[in-house]
Amino acid sequence: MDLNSAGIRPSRLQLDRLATGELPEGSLALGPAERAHLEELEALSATLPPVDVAAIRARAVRLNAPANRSLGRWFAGLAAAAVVALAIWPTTPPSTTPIAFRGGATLDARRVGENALVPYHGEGLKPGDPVVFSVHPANHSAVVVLAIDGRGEVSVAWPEAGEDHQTLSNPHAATSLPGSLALDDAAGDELIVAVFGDDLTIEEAKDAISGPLESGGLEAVAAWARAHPDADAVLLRRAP
Amino acid sequence: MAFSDREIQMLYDRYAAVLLHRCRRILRDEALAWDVVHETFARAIVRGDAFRNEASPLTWMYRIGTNLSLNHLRDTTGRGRLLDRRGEELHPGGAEEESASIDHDRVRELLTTADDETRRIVIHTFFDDCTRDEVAHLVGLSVPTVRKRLNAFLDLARATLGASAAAVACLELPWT
Repeated sequence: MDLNSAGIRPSRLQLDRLATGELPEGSLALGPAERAHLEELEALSATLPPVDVAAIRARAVRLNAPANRSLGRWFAGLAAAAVVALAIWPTTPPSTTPIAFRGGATLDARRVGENALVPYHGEGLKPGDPVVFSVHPANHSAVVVLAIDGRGEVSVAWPEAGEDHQTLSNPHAATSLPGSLALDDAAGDELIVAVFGDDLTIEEAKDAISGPLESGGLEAVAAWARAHPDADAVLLRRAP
Repeated sequence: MAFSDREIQMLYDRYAAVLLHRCRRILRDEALAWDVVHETFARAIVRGDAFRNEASPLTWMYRIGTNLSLNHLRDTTGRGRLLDRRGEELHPGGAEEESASIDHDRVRELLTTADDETRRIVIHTFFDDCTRDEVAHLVGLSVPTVRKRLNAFLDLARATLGASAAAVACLELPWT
């Protein structure tokens, strides 16, 4: 196979660095294919639309701000009561479910009440009702939170796209996860599973739940997570 | 220190074409590619001075853009939309062409099931035509480990597609 394993020609990374001025002119030996690549880039550059600085800034602001996540779709704006409630949510919330007392790493859920966040105990939720989460990592520095819908489809709730895991800055304290989750219009309940580790990847977290998911669905994953010291789960029930 | 509008403009002028070109090749979707480009710029802005101090800003953006692109591929493939859309767009007629496309899509699907490091290794090897040394540097692994991961992926591709189809599909990935 004609791979560039020995560096017999410039890689595209090198060519692109040359095109952007990161490498000086004349620093690479260019053949016809390399010159064609550079010409292609130059032609593309000439056709680019003007930069939308405001749009890029807006994205950057969203990256810095707590995200508002949804299972399947983003909930369009938290209600004012939720914003107030988020602001007054204690950074180290008390344990709210029986599983929180079992030791090991835990996942806690809270829903938006009238004027504050209240512990979530499995009440029926409507699509769009925001639920916020916190984790107690029990000495771990990372978590991957997966959402499994009623059909058994797994999606990544945390970390954000492009990251391997959600980094937890304090492995010894409860940490609020940014944003919120909400049920979408898909049928059935949703199981939210947190898998903790230190050098954890999304794939490893998915591997961890794949056995119980295949053998017994959401119930088996929930049982596995609640019994495992490095995992935990919360079932979001859909209102009838 | 925050990025000024002028700095963002300069970043765009310098890197947008290169990033877009690469993301389009990986994703084969203009809108998704633009989305990754904008997201990568936004992350660079958030990174602030740490980004300014990167020895090679492009290498950093390659890494972020790769992860974002692969996540897009994983998500869209998982929902079964990618093959349908690509099939219609790329091969409106012709069974032979469609068969070749499916091979490439299968390689991409294999990529979405691989672990994160392997995906990055494959992308840098086949899309970026990097040397093993460059790949090792980009993913932070040793050259022997890179070689081992790549061979494991190719074994899987061969087992799934057959030896010749896997070779052709992998080599043609950047151009399809």
